[in-house]
Amino acid sequence: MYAQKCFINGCIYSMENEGEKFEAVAVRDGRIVATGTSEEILRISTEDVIDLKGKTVLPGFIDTHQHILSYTEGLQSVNLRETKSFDEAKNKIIERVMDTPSGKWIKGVKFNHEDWDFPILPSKKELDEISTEHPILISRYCMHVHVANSMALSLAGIDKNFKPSAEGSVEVDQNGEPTGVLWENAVTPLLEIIPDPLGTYEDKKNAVKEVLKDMSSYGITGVTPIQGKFCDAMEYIGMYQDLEKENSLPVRIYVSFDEYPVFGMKSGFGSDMIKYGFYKIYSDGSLGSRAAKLFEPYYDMPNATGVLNYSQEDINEMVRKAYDMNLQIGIHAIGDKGLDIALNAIENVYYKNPKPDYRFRLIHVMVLNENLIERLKSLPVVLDIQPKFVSSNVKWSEQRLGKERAKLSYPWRRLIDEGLVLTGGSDSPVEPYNPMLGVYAVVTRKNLEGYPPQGYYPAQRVTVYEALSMYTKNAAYASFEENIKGSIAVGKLADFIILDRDPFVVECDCLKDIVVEKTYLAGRDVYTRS
Amino acid sequence: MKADFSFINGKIYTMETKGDFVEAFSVYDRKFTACGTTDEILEDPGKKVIDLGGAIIVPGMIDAHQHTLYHAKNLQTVDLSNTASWEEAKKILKEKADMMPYGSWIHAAGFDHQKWRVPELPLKEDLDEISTRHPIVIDRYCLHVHVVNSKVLDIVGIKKGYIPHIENTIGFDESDEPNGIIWDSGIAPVLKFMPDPLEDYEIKKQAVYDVLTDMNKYGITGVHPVQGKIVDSYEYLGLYQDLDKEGRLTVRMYVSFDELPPFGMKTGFGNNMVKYGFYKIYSDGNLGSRSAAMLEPFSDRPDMKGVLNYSQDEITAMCQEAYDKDLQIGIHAIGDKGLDIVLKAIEKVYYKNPKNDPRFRLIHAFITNEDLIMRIKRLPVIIDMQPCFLSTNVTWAEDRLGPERIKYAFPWRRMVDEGIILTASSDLPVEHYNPFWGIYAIVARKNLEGFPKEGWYPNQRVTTYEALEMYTKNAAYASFEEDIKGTIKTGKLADFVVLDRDPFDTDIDSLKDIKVRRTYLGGRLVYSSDN
Repeated sequence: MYAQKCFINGCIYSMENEGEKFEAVAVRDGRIVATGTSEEILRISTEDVIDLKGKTVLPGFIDTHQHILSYTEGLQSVNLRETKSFDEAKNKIIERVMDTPSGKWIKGVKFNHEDWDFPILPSKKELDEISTEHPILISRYCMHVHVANSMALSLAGIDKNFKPSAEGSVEVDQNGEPTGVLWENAVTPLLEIIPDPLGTYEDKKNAVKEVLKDMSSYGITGVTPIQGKFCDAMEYIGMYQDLEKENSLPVRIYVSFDEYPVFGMKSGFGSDMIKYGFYKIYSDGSLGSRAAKLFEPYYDMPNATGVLNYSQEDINEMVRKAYDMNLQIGIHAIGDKGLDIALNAIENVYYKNPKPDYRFRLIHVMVLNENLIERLKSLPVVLDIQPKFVSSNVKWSEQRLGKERAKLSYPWRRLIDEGLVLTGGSDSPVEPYNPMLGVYAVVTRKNLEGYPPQGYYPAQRVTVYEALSMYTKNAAYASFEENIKGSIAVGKLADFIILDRDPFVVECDCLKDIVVEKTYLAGRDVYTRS
Repeated sequence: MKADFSFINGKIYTMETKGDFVEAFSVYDRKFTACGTTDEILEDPGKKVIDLGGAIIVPGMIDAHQHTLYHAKNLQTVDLSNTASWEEAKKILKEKADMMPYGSWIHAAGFDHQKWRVPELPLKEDLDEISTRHPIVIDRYCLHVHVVNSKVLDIVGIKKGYIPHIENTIGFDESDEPNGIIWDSGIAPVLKFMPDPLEDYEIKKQAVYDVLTDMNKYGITGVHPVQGKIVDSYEYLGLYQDLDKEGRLTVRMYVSFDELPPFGMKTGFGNNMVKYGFYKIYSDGNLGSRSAAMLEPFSDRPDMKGVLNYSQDEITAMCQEAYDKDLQIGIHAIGDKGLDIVLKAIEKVYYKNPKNDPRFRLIHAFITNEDLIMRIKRLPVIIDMQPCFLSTNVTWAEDRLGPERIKYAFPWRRMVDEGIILTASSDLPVEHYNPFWGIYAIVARKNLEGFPKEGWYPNQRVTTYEALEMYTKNAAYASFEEDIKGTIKTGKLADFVVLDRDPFDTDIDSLKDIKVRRTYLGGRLVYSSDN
C-alpha cells in the first residue's frame, strides 16, 4: 500500500454513522485509500505524515443552494442588511449617492423592513428624498419585493398605464399611480436596464473566484449554484471551467439552471469538479414578503394568500418535459399551497411512470401540513432546506402564519423522524454561507442573539449529527454523489476540514462560533486559517 | 507496491518522439505510473505482472471525426449488398422479421437484382411471403428503385386509383393494383410513415454500444463524434453519459455539435470519458457529388463550381460568435473556395483579437493551393483529414480536378513538412474506422486493392510514424488533451493497444493487415482477440 499523505492522531468523524470516528486517514491521488488507527495508517508507505494533534475532522461541507453570481453582484450594491430603521438604510444609500455621478444606478440590497423600528416598506416618495437624479432600486433580502424611486420607474416605463405580467405585482395608490413597490417579476423591466456592475467577463470571474475562496474558509468544498433567470440570478458553466483551468476552483460545483439543457445533456454531466445539476422551477414567492402561496390567508394580512408563478397546468407541463428528458428536477416551494402544486406536478409524472432512483428536490419547504408530509413520504424526494431561515425569521414567522400553522413550519425534527432526507443550503445571498450558523440554527432554533431563549417551537430541534448530515452526506446524496463524497470513507474524494472545536462536544449555543482551521479538497490544502 | 499491474518485456512505442520505445510500464487507477526498462519496472512492480513476450504496444488510437450515432442508425438497415439471388435476400429478411415484433418496420438496402441469378425485381407478393404483419421496404443499391409489401401499401394508402405526386413513380399490375415497385420520389410518402429505427432509447443506446465496442477491436480508444443537423446526423451527450454510468462506455468521446451550447458551457466541459467538443460549421459540400465549392469549375463539369452553404459574411459572423464564447471551432471545408472563405473568416476573427491557443479545426481540407497552404501555416489551425478518402477517391479525383489542381490534392507530405498538425479520422459512415487502413492509405497512397501500384502522387506519402501520430498524439492535441492522452507517458491515461506485429518493421503493403490483439482503456481490458 502506498499513499501520498497520511493524516494521523485526529478525531475524524466519518459521518457514515453517528459517532463513528477514526484516528487517521491515508490519501492517494485525491482519494481516501485507508482509514484506521494512527498505528495502522503509519504502516503505509508515504511521502508526507500530517499530525492532526487531536483536532476534529469532518467531511467537507456542501451548500446545496446558492446564487453565486448574484451574491457577487450584491457585493457591488449597498448592503442594507442589519439596518435597524429606514433612516439608517437611507443614510447608507445617501453615502453611495454622494460618490456616484448622477444618472448612474444605485442598488440597495438585503434590507428587511420587519427588523426596522417602523416595520413598513418605504415607497418611491422616501427614495426620491434621497435622489431624483439617480435611479434607485432597493430589494428586500428575499429578492421577492423591491422599491424603486421615480426616476427608476420612469426609466423602466412603469407608470399608471403599465400592465405587469402578473396581476397585482406593481403596487398602485388610489389614483392608480405606482407607489414604487414591486413584487416578484414586476422588477424585471428595471433589472433589464440596470447596467451590470461587473461589466466584463474578467471582473465577474474574479469576483466569483474571491467568493469561492471565502467559502473554503468556512469549510465548504461543494456548492450547488442555481440560476434563477427569473430573479436575474445567472450562472455560467464556462466560468467555473475557466477557474478550474486557472487552478482557482477550491469548491466542487453542481450548477443548476431554470432553463432546459440541449445536446441531450443530463443531470450529472461533467467532472468531479463541475457538473451540470438539475432543472429548477419556481412555484411561489417568499414568506417574509408574503409571496409564498398559502391555502389560507396570511395571519397578519387576511386579504393576502401569496403568489403562484405558474398555474398547475404550467407546472405540470414543465415537470413532465424535464422528467421525459431524465433531468433531475428541483422546485422552489415555500407556502403550503406552493408545495401542494409542486407535489401535484411530481405525483402526476411519477406515479404514471415511476423511474428508478429519481430524487426530485423540493427547495425551502417551510410551511407544511399533515397531508403534505404524508405525500412527501411516499415520493422519492430530497428536501433542500435553509437551516438559517428558522433563526433569521424567528421574529415574524408566527405573525405571518398564526399559531396553528406555525407548529408545522420549519418542522425539521418531524420530517427527519418520518425518514425524509434533508440537505442544508444558505440560499446565499439570502443568508450568509457559514454552515456552522445553519447547524446552530436548526439545533437551537434561536437567532444569533439567542432569541427566543427556549428556541422557536423547540420540539422541532434536530441533533448536531442530523444537522451536519444535511451539509455532508445528505447533500452528496442530493446530487447522486454519495459514492464519491459526503463522508470520510475509503474510495471517496479526500475533501475534509479541520475545526477548532468538536461540534459534538461544545454547548449548542457555541456551535455558531466554531471556526474552520483548514480545508482540504482532494487531499490538497485549499485554506489555512491565518 | 504502488501499481495495480505492470507490463514487462514488450516493445512499447511511446509516440513521444520518433523511434522512442520502452520495455515496460506500470498502471495504477487508470493511469501510467512508471515507464522504463523491465528491470526498472520490476524494482517496484504492480500487484500483477504481465509478460508481453516481446509484443508490440502503441497508444490507444483516436478517430478525430465521426458521425457515430448516424452509423449506428444505418446499421439497423438490413444489408442485402452481397446477395446472389432473391432467395438469399428473402432468407435474410425472414430471419430479421422473425426477430422483430409484429408491426415494426423492416428496412433493407443494397441489393442489385441485375447481379442475381434471375435478374428480376421482386414484387409485393414476394415480400408478402416473408411477412404481412411487418411493413417491409427494400431499396436497390442505387436508391432509385424500391419494393414494398402489401402492409406498407395499406399503411400509406397506395391502392387502385392512387395518383402519385409525380407520374409513373408507382408500379401497377394489369388489374391496376399497385405491384409494390416504387421509383424515385414515389417513396416520399412511405418515408413519412417509417419510424426512426432508433426511436426507442434503450435500442439506440445498445446500437451505439455495439458500434463502440466494435471500434475497440481496431484499437480505438477515443472518438470525436460530430453532430451535423444539416445532414440529419444527431449526437446526444446524455447517451454517452448513460453508457458511462452503466460502465459500458469503452471509448472516450469528445462530442461536437453544429449548434451553440447552453449555460455558457465551453469546449472541454465534461470528464475524461465524455466531453463537450467544438462548434461545427459546414462551409461547402463534397467532391464526389461536385458540391465542394471551387475557385475554378470542375474539370469534368465546366459549368459547375460547387455549393457554399453560407455567404462569407455569414460564416464570419458564425465564427465570431463562437470565438467570443470561447468555443473551439471546427469547419467542414472541402473545395479550395470553401477553404478560402473559411480561412478568411478565421483570419478576420483571430487577427483582430488573437487569443491564446484557440486551435481552430479545418475538417477534410484536401483541395488546396500554394496560397491556402501558406495561410494555414500561419494560423493556429489543425487539419482533421480522412486518410481513406484518398484511397476511395483515387480513381476519379483527377477527373474532377484536372492535372494542375490535383498536385495540391491530399497534400499531406507537404503539410507535415510545413509544420501543420494533421489528425486522422474515418468520417464514419463515409469510411470504415480501421486506423490501419487509414495509415496504409496515406503511407502507401493506394486503395485497398493496391491501386495504383506505385502510389498515387507518391511524393505526398507520409511516414508510418507521422501517420500514427495523427491517430494518437495529434488527435489528443486537437481536443486539448495532450496532457492526459495520445502517448505512453507517466501520468497519462493508460489507453494502449497490443498489436500482432510491428508497424515500423513491416512492409508498407502489410500495414493494412495489422491486427489488434488487445485494447486497454484506462488500464481496463476492453477487447481481446482471444475471446
